[in-house]
Amino acid sequence: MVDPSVEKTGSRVSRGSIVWFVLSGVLILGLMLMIGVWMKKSDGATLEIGKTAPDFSLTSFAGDTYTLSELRGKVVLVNMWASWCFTCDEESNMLQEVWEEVEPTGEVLILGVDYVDTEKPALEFILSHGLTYPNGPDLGSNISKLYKVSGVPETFLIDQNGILKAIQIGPFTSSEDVRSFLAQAGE
Amino acid sequence: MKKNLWFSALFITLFMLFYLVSPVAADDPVLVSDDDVNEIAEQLYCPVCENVPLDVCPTKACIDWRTVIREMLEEGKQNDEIIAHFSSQYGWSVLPMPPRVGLNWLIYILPPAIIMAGGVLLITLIRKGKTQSDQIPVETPSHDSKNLEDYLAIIDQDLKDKENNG
Repeated sequence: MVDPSVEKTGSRVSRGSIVWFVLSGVLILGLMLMIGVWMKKSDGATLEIGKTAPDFSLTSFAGDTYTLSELRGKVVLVNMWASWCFTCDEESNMLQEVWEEVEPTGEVLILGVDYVDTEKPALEFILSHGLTYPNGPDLGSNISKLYKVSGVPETFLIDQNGILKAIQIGPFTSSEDVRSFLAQAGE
Repeated sequence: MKKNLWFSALFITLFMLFYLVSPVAADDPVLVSDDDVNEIAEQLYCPVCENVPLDVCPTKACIDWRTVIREMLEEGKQNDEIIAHFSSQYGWSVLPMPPRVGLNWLIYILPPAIIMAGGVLLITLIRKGKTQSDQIPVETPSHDSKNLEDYLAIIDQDLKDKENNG
């Protein structure tokens, strides 16, 4: 013989438990959604070849500001480098050689983005390699985050319409390699 | 009269010493030791080689950074100013902990909140379990018990018979 009052209490607790579980589930799902949105937001824009390249602004060491979205009509080659990067040494010479060829046409812009570097060694690097294309620091590592840079050198090619056309991970092996990379903007 | 002259000379000498020596002292660079640099460097992380504190990081980038810390200390910058400079220059990934701004607060709030909620849930379940165990009904003897008594009586009888026969 079971006391009926106990059975009644038991069923009331079960309903309470269900409400608890539902509320907890909604809370956990809501939190997961929030974290997901936050992670997506902090991950930045999508980086995909054939899609619009993420916009950024770079203030060069000379004080000039370059905003990617304002450079439509030009092919932009964004080169991530650092003074402490050994393979960036030779690559910068190749980029300078190509820059001297393309600069008079006004159709191509090479932008050097100095990745997690200190100003003094960076300026010494620019001077020692005689770089004349614009170079500037990646303040707050904002550009490298947008372009998901994991190391240097890395180079991105953006066509006249702001579309990301190619990504080069690691250094170029020759000036011809740089020219072939640039040619992909017209494809 | 001679005493006054003596005091005047002393005063002029002290005055000149104060004005000539103090600017020289002000121009002296602050002496910065490796320990001073490392005290700040250990609060920063190399963004190139992840999870390596700046004071023990051997890469050229980290050596350059430590040089910057030394220069800033020599300029008389405070520890907080130097850390803020690195954070704004390279992003907050150089800090050991994300700054308490915006959604970063979730990192600080969620773990203790989940632990607390778990604790509350555990206490609730334990208390509920205890209440239910207190309310377990005492079964009154029923006809089932009667059957059991009869059954036990039969067994007893069987055992007695076996003993008598044996």
